Order: sequence, then C-alpha cells, then structure tokens
Amino acid sequence: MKKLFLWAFDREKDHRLSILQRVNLFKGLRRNFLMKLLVDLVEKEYQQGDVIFTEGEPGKALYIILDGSVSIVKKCGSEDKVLATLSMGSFFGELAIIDQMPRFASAIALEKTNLLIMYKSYFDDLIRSSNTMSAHLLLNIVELLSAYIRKNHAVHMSDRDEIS
Amino acid sequence: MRYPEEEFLREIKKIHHQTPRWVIGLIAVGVLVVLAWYTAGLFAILLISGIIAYLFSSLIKRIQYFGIRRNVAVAVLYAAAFLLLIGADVLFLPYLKHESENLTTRLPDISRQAEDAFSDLKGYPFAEELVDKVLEGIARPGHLLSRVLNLPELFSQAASLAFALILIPFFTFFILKDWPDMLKAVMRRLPAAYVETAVATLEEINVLAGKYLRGLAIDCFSVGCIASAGLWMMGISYPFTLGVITGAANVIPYVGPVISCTAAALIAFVQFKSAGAVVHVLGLYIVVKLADDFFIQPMTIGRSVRLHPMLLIISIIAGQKLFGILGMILAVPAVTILQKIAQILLDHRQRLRSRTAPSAHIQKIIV
Repeated sequence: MKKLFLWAFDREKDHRLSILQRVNLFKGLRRNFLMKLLVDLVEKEYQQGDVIFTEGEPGKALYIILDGSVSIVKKCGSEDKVLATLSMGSFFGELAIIDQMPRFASAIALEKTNLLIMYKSYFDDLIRSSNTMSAHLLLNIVELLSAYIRKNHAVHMSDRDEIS
Repeated sequence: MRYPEEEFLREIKKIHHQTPRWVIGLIAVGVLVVLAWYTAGLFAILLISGIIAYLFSSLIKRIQYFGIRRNVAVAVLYAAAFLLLIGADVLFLPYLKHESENLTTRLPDISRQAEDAFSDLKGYPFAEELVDKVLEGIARPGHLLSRVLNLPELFSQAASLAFALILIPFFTFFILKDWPDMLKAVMRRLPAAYVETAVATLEEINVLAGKYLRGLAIDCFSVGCIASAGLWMMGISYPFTLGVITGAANVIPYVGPVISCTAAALIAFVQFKSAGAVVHVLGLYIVVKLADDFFIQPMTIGRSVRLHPMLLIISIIAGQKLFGILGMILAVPAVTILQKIAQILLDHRQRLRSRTAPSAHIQKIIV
C-alpha cells in the first residue's frame, strides 16, 4: 500500500525541484509553487551552438537552466563580448518579461542544454493570481535589479577613477 | 540515363518550390475540410473529446501541483467522474429521462394541442397565414421543435449514441494523459529559432481558449439552471429538459436563446392555452438574457471574445451542414477560437518578419 502511495508521486520532478529551489528569482517561494512552475512551463532541449535568442529581437520569455550551460554575448562595435557564462540553476532573459524591450544580448547554448521557458503572459498571470507569491517574486526581481544597478555603478565609478 | 520516377520527383519538387506558401496552406486546409466532411462523425467525437480534455486539463494540473503523477491524476479524475455519474444517474437522470421520453412520446399530442390552441388566433387579420407557418415550421413532428426536444437526435448525425459514449471518454483519457508528451515531441522537433515565438503563441492560445471554454461552460450551466428554476416556479411542464435545452442553445449567440424561448413558450401555450403564460415565459427569458448579458457573461467569458455576426451565421450554417444540431452548438466556440488563433498567428508572423537574422558575431561564436 505504501509502495503504491509512493508510486503515485512523481519522483522525476524532485531533481528539477531541487534546481528551481536554487534559482535566486524563486528564493523564499513555497515548494508547491515551484511544482506548479514545473507542471505549467514548457521545457526544451537545445543542442550545442543553438542560438536561444538574438540581440535586438523582441523578448518574450525568461529561461531557467535545468541542465547544461549558456553563454550571454553582447556585440560591442566590431567585437563580441561574452558577458556571462551561466550554468544549471541560473536564469536569463528576465528583463524581457519586465519591460518587453528588445533583447540586450544574445544567448547561445554551449553544450546540450535543458531550459524551462516562462512566457511573459504566464509571468503576468502569476503576479496577478497570488498576493503572497507575487510579493515574493517582485521582491526578488527588485533585489536583482538593485544588484545590477550597484554593479553598473561600481563599474562606472572605477572607469571614472581610471580616466581622472 | 534518367529514370521516370526521378523525373517525376524533380517535377514535384519544382512545383513545390514554385507554388506560393499560401496556396499550399489553402490546399492543406481544403484537404482537411474534405476529410472532416467525409469523417464528420469521428471528427465530431474527436472535437468533443478535445474540448472536454481541455476543460479538465487545469484540474489535472492542480492535482499535479501536489507532486502526483499525471497518469494517477487522470485516473483519479475518471474515478471521481464515474462516482459523479452514478450519483447523477440516481438523482437526476431518471427525472430527465422521464421528462424527455414523455415529451418525445407526447410530441404528436402536443403538436395537435398546439394546432388547436393556435387555431383560436386564426380569427385575427393576417394571423391565419402566420399561424400556419409557425405550426408548419415548429410544432409538426420532424420539424424544429421535435428536433430540438429529441436529445438523442443531437448525437445521431455524429455517430450512434453508444459508439460516441464509448469513444469520447476513451479519446479524452488519452488526450488528457499524453498531452505533455505530445507537446514535448513537438518542442523537440522545433528549430531553436522558433521556440520563443512558438511558446508565446501556444501560451496566448492556451490562456484565451481556456478562459473562453471554461467561461462558456459556466455561463451555459448558470443560464440553464436559472431558466430551469424559473420555469419550475412558474409551473411549466418539463422544466429540467427545457433548462438543459436553454443551457446548450445558449452557446449559439442570438439564435440559441430564441430557439429555447420558442420551445418553452410553446410548451407553456399548449399547457395553459393562454397567451398570458407565453408572456410570462417571454418575460422570464428576457430577464435571463439580460442577467446573462450584464452579469454572467462579463464575469465568465468577458467581452474580448466576440464573433462578427456575419461569421457567426456562416459558422452556424456550416456546423449544421456538417454535424447537424450538434454542429450548430459546436461551431460557434470552434470558430471563435480559430479566429483568435489566426489573429495570434498573424500577429506573431508579423513580429517574426521584423526579426533580424543571427548576426555574424554570433555565427563566429557558434563555430
């Protein structure tokens, strides 16, 4: 009976759930909410070298890395600058679901990579549907944005110091 | 030396490259329509199974949120539905069956009584011709009233009732169980460049179709219940059957409420043989319609999903031609969703055209 009861539960999702629990964006969110994400969101396997999205194109989704790694590349004049290399448990494309502006950089799969894709309308629905969850999620995004601002500010200050 | 098969294949490829995509699309749609026409019964069963699966998919997901396997969730839903059906069979079905059987057997009598009741009106100018037309079109067996009131008739053109009752739960079960796997298989084959647009399109369609179908189901159920309760309070015969007809007909805008109101008014007229009863029924249906338009629909379906009246009439006629009365009911939601899907696809196509190709710097990194 106990075996049957345990069989009824989806153990395959446990590993993915542990990855989602490590994602900063979902920090402090309950297990059943993360399970909801795993059930609702579309998963896609990318091959090495696949372009996930291209700089300048309209952004519509956020990506969470379940497995593999992704390079974020920005074109600076004629040079290509690798901004970051992300691995399992990281996420990218978050700015698109906030402001829907064109993609700031391109994303390329560096190896066989599994991604969970969250589309903007789904994110908007999440924000509208649950007060506690949306508060948590929005707070995490604000923290994320403030970290970006601090980082940019530090870079800007060091550049200014170098010039002076 | 060239073989004739090679030559033939070359010709086919040449035609394929020379033909614009929209022509190929049009041919594909034409083939689908012809197939649907010739396999109308099976197509209707698949469509109903798809709609039922879609309506219950969110419930299945809710069970999955607790970490339960999808197969188990679907099995739990089927077990619950089975228990519910047994409950309904004990509580409501005998009553509904009794009402509809009684109505079907009494239809010739009702028709005769209606003729007698209407003949009182024949003394008025212009009324004679009108009364004849009404009796010819509505009350006589084999015409509108008998078709509308005979519930098994709804399924007769799709397939035999027993066949449909076995196949619909069967198809629904597999659509519910295997939908994520089907989606995964599609995603696996989709080129990386189209994933974001595909997910975006799918999500928009999902949100829209889900809201519309669930809203429509709640709307029809509410309207059916209110009409049924109203008719029962007024002492009109067959309130339950008329409530079911009102709910089902409510799917068809404009035409549906008129059909159900006519059926109820006719029953009231035959039962009480007075115009007063008809006025009461008309009043009830006006109140139900106003409540539906101003309170129920805005809360359930919303105002964003609407069909153009011309498209609405065309879809009802096409649905009727394809699957009879069942087709009339299914045509409106099906065409509404198709219209919205086409709108979303065109919108995405436009955005996709404005998309820039991966630039040289990305190509370098890939290599």
